[in-house]
Amino acid sequence: MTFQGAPFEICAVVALGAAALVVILYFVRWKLPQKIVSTTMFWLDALGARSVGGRRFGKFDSLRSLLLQLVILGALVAALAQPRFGFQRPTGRRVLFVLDRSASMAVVERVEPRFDTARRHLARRLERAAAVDEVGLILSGGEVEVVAPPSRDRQPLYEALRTVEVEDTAGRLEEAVARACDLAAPGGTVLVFTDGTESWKACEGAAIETDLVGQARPNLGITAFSAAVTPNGVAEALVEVSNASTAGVHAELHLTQDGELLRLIPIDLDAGGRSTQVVSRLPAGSGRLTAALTAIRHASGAPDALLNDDRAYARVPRRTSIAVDLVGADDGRSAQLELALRANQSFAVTKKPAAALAPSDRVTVVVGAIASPLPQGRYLLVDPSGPGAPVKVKGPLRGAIFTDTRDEHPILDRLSLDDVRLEEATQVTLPPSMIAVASFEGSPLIWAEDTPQRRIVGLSFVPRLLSDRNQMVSDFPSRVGFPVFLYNAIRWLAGTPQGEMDPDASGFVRRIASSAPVVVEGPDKRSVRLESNGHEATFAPPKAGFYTVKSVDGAKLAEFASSVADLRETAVSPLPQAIPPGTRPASDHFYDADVYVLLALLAVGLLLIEWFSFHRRLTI
Amino acid sequence: VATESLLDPKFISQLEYLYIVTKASFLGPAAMQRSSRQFGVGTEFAEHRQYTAGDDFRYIDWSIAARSERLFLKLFMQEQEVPLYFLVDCSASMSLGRPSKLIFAKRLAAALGYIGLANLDPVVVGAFDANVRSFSNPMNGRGQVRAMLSELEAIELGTTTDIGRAVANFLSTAGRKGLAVIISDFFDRAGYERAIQLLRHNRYPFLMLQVNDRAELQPESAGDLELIDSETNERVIAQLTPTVLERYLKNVEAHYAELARLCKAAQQHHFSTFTDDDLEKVIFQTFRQGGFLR
Repeated sequence: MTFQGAPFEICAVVALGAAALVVILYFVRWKLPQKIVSTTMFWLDALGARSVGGRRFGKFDSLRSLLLQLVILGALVAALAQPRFGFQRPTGRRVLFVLDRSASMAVVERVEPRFDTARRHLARRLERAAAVDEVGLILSGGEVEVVAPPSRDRQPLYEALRTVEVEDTAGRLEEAVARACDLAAPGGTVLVFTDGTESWKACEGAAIETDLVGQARPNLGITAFSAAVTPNGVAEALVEVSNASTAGVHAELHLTQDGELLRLIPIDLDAGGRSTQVVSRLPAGSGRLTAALTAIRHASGAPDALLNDDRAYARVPRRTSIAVDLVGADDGRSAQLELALRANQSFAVTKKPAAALAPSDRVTVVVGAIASPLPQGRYLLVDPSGPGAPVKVKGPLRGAIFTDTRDEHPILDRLSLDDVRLEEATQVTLPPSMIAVASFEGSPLIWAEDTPQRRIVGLSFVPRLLSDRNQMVSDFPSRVGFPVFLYNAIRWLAGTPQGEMDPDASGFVRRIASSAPVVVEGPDKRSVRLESNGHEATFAPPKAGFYTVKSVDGAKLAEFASSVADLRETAVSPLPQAIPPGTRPASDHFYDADVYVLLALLAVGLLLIEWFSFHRRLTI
Repeated sequence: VATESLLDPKFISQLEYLYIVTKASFLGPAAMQRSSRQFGVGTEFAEHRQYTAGDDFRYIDWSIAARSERLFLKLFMQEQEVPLYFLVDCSASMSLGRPSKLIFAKRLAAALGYIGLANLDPVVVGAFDANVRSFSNPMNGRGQVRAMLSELEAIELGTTTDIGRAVANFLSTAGRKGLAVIISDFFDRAGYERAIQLLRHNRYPFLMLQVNDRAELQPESAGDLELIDSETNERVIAQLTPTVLERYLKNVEAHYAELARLCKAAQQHHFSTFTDDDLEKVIFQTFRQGGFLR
């Protein structure tokens, strides 16, 4: 047995002193006025009481009272010492609470939202944790946030529980549980409070327990909504509606832009059905797009479970013109490249002589030999050679195809190079600052460099159909993907304007290109100041709606939208298969609760018994 | 207690003219007064009867013989002496009151005993608590008054009460059948029912004289108290609220109401007195109006 409270020696001295005091006070206790009566038999009946010394064992009454008082004293002093016994963990446990605050937790169950239930359960278990237990809290949903690393300090957890709210985002429960496992291991416990709609991976070195708060409910929601300007400059929107219930559903989808109704689309979906709508040729210019589901009628008759996913928001990007300088020998090799560049209305192409290379913010397309090292700038280099080429040319490469591609790179967005053939190409060796985006058996064919001074996209081939000898060079220019590739490459090179969202960024955390602090104003008109790391500021929008990015002096820089729009959140019914094997239901940690609380309760109970038995004055 | 304190001489002189009326005849249940129907030597004329051979001719009424020339005898009512048994409760509870219940009981016994002696009735004085503690020899005539008072004065406080046991013991000790006068507060945990049953079974007429301290039937609220039983030393912590007092009175009244009911059922007398009552008033009003004395 160990003592977590006051030192044992002090408690022992206090106990002995107090016991002596009790005994002394017991023998000099207050004496009531005495009255001799003929008989007490009528008084006993009238009082409904027991006599003090006239019945069997009555003479031990006083001794029992004293013994009870000493036991009460002992319990109180023991509570002060906070003992922990052998059946309790001597050093306390490490428990990581993971609280799911994703959008589906806003579903209202019988009496309250799932999130409120989960928060209440968490608070209850927090109260039951022993004082020596180390507890921590991680919030999933939106940005995974470690609110409190494991410690004995409960205050941060209670603070977080008081202020935390459901966010209109997907869960990211897997990431949250993984981080909790890292903090809990070895030997700790991860306790996940969720509605069971998301899965996670098993944990090594820590036990995972769950407290599930959700039940199966029908729900219809918008699971995807975005707007974009196509490479050929046409604005269009994509909206996906999913029925996450076991029966059919009917609804109406309203699509509005800047408050003007664009489309009213009736939605009829079978159980588990999904409808995808593409609305093209949106009105010119930027605007706020809103998709809203109304008049939802589930065949089961039940109400729609989640309201947060019935509306989605998107912003039509601005159509910006990118200035492109085309530099190179006018020998016909760049004819098809020039044609493709000029065909895109997003590009303002200017043809310049090779000698005109100078530091510039414009995108410069260079075809062929480069006489001198490239100055600071943004370059699309086509089959570079000569002393100024940033790569080392090794020799010709015949009959190449794209065997290895780095698909996650923005310049390959929405692009497939699987069947493209390159009859003529050049073998090059890349410097360490460059990466191969696509290559043929280790020989880079498309490569890129991204440094503070330069951004470069390079091609180890000339995108043309025929050579000067009228022989096949490549079928790439004839592919649909060629203008897409050029669009991706030029946009990546041009970068994101100040205050705009990175168009290639994905995920929950938004990256706002800015070298200075910015202010983001949310749909609830609350503003958040974001510090920049020199070239961007990050922000995780907690609520669905439109956000305005402003400079610190109030000038509007850009705008972006945030929505739930996630099938995992629309599917609000718990998935049994989501819980990994080995996960246990949350256990009752009663025996790890502090014994001193029980001792204190015991003392209070005995005190009441002692008072009732020996000192009761009140007769009702 | 001095002899004078038990009976005042002036009060004694007033007792001369009283005699005890018993409601049960020792010769038959029809007679409802102590005078017997047995004819014989006496002072009270009853009737005439024709002379027959063998009659005592001293009782021939010569005035009637002279008028009717026939002999008639004058018959007189013969008076029956009735033993009076005074059983005084001397248990510890009788020590309470001002004066104490025991002293008041002794005075009652003395007064009634004097009346008995003046009427030439044998008087026996006894004391009991859980058993019979003392039992005097029968005393007759006024000459035994001092002896009777001495017997009463000699009674001392005892311990607990057990009337039933004491009466059983008395019945086995008493000689002739007579009137049993039990003077007590009747605070007996074992109950008084057995005593009444025994007396009825043995056809003893009896008088239950209930003596109480007035505070017992009219207690005042006194807040927190430790009540001590005078007989058992049992202690009870009590807060004397009006509600508790009301319950107590209800219990006590029920206790004595049952005693009165049992006496009435046995066609016997039951009187309730308080220690601060005027003895003269008790004798001349309560007892006479109650038909016990004439």
